[in-house]
Amino acid sequence: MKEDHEIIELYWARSESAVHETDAKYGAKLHTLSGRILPEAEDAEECVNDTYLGAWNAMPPQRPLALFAFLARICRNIACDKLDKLRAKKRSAEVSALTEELSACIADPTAAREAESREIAEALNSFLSTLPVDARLFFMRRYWYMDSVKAIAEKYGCGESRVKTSLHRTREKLRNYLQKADIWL
Amino acid sequence: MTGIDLFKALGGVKEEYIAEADGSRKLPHVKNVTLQWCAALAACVCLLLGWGFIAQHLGGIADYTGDETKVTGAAETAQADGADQGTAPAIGGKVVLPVRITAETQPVSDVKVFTDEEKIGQIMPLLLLKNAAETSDDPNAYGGSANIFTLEYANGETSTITVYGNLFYKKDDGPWCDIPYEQAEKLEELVRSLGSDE
Repeated sequence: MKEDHEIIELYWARSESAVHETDAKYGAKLHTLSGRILPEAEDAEECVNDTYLGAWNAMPPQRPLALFAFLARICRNIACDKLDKLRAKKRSAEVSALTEELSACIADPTAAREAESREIAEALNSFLSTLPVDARLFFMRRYWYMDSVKAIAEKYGCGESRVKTSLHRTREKLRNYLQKADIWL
Repeated sequence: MTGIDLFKALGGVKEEYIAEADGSRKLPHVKNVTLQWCAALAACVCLLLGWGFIAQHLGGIADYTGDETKVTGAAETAQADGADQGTAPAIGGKVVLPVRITAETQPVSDVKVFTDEEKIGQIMPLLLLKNAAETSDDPNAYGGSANIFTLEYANGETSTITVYGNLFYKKDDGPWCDIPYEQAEKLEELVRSLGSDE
């Protein structure tokens, strides 16, 4: 199995084996990640394939320091977008029509949504930098990687109550942080 | 804004934190609770062993109980509280323990020899007479047996202590002194209970 930098070089060289090597090394983990967001296996599979396409389009010019983190972020964002669309389909026709009408009030709804998301992401990054390593790990494993509390406790060799307590406190801190940053949920 | 928005916004988190949680980096801060307990237990055990070692081998420590039945420490040195008869050679104010005690009972002439440090440590406090005062009585007027203790020291010196009738006490050629009956009785019982080392 190739090292990360070797795989990145394949992308840069526009070698078709780049995707194959990526799938061989990180395919299983990416499927797990997308499967936790998207209930249907087909959707999860599609998400992973879209991730490889995203990586192909991103490299070059990007040269990530941590390849899996780079891929995982692409995968997660694609999965969340797919989930949005799936949920939109499940809403009643009337509600969909209404939200469509309302979205017309926003000059550039996509840009507005992206700006909002960026603002929250910036706040989250600032918040995460204030956390002790333990608390940050637990938070990321739970809310980014969607691990169960039990899985987190096993991964780090600590008790479940410790993980739960840490997550509870971190959520409290995040709420206060976002309130102070005028980001209301 | 909803929790879903926040969940999605996590997609914008730095790759550094994503990689950190992936375990791509080794993080020492998340401690293994089991290891913590083992380390704490090991530290306690080492502490107890060290304490026991020091307590056993530190010279000059007298472990007197309420009835002063035991002296711990090396055979060559001991700290005697209140020993004022010069019953044993002293080094730096500390009473030096003998390396050998011969206990002879007369007139029956039962002889026991003690070379064990612990036994010597038990006997010596009862052989030391505190606040010795010359007796006003005449020991010859009393009938009874005598316990004669010959103390041999590492430097070759010897000393003889005689306890007569559990009432009288004499060191070497010194005068007869009064000894508390209880102390003499305990000494007699102790010697009777201890096995001879030779």
